[in-house]
Amino acid sequence: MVSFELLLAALSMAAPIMIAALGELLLERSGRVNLGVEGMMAFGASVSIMVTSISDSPVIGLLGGLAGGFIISSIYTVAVLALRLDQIVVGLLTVFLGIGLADLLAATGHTIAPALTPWSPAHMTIIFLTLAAPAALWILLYKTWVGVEVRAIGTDELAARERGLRVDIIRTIAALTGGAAAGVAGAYMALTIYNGKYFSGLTAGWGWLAIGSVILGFWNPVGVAVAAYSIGLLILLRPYTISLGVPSYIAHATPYIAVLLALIIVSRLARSPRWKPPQTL
Amino acid sequence: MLLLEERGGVSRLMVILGAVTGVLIGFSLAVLLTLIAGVSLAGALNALAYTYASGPAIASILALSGPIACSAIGLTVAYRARLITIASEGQVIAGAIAALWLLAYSGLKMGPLEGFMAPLLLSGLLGATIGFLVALLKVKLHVNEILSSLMINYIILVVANYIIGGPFREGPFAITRSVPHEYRVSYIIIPAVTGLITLLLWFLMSRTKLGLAVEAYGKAPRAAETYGYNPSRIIFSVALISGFTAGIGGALMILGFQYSMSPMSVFPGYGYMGVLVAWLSANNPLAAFAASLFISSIAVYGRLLQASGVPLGYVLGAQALIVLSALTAVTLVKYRVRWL
Repeated sequence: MVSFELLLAALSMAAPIMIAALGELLLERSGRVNLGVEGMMAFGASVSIMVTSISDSPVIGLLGGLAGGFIISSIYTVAVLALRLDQIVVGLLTVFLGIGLADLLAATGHTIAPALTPWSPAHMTIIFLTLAAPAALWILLYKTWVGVEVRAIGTDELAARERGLRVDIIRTIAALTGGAAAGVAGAYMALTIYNGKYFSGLTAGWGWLAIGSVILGFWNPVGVAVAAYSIGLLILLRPYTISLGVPSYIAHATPYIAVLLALIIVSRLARSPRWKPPQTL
Repeated sequence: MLLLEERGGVSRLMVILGAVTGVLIGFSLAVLLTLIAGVSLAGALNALAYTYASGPAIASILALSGPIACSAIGLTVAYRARLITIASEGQVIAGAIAALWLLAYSGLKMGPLEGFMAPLLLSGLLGATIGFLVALLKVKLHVNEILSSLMINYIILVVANYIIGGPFREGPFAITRSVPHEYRVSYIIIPAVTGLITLLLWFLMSRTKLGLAVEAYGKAPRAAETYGYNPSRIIFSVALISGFTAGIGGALMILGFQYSMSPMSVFPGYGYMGVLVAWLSANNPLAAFAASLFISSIAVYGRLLQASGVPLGYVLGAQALIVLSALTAVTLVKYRVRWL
């Protein structure tokens, strides 16, 4: 039953969670959290469908999604990084704001567009980039000076400031990159997973699953990728579990239940000092 | 680098005026946003006038404020103790299901007083149970309550949809039985109930030992612990209180305006609106009561425009915009922004 095709299909399913989670990881490593992933994904999804339906090109649509996520994360950047508003409050507000704006945009009539067909060259490129991203982010964080700077800011903001590290600039770049990643993730959901459609409630909590995977992966790029992939596999297996006799409502709740259980296990492991989250979070 | 410099001598009145200005700016932007969906400016303003000046709309504002205020007032207490739970959304849904079961499925015959009090109590207890779970996960297993409460919301949504489409299904369509007419309450009753809860929690916070403990723990957790306050007891208490009130909100939703339920493709949002209200009111129960009426009016406004093509997601988006605008305005009143 476990075949190569299944594992590959799970990768296609997990890709948006992985992309959004890696973007969020970068920001969290620099010591801030943006809970707005769900909203940035929704807005990215809506913008991508609009752009694709106008341009007829899903690839340009993906770039539109990227821009959409970027726009919403710039609200977070101004409110949290410049005006020092509470990051939790602003994050949740951007969830609602992003979804609201996404639905409004869809109300202009752009809800159907040409899909980004699975396993087309463009789709293969995205999958390849998604697979390369954890390694690239790992090298960036652990093998470059910029990575040391990012992690230092996340570990001890005051000391980093004293030492003249570029706290605000790095966090701004991280927040906007995270937003762009979430936007692409949402665009991917709409263009590939839902075959070029946008509808209200499309993101269905996947943004939260992405934030969950950051914790499950212990703030390590490879760990986060594994966590996101496992959640994608669980989502893909939902129809199989139903055919095995599991009631469908339980099957539909599995990703959320799994993340909850995993958080419990991870929180127990996290007692050891080796597995500490970035301290200024 | 951007620097925030505290302005000296900013009075409380200035802060409140700043917040009101922020709300008005956010509100104007929210009204203009409806133009994206193809509403004409005249249509948007007409709907605005109708929202605040017509009997049916005001009745709706009062009715919808029930679950919003119940969530918000409890959350002000939880947030003061730094328990950032978002579970109110799930608690409202669960409370609604519990009230619906009691009144339309249990077969119990109740008089007017029991028929009103019993669903409130049952829904409140179910909400408190969910709150207990969130607190247990936080205190005993150190799970971040924001994520755990959100996951719980999604699980509750899935289970509620199963109950509505399965055991509660009535007839060929996926819709439940309705609450019998004798149990339904008028929109006048709803602010009376939420007003009473507000006063109770205001009394609890300002006149009791628990209120003092919550206040002390919220302001300085370490110091409070050193002085002998038990943090887990405080967290459990506020989780139970906020869960109980949000659960009552679910009962009010069923008794006051919803009457029956059908499967939900997205969250109804009253619990999330309660979160917004708690923030807008700076965690003050009395202010939360007033703010929930205002947030409820935005929901009514959004619904009025639904016929003109404004989507459902607009409501929470507009409310979030208003809260964000208010918080920004308050910061700008309190601090001077300078480039360094």
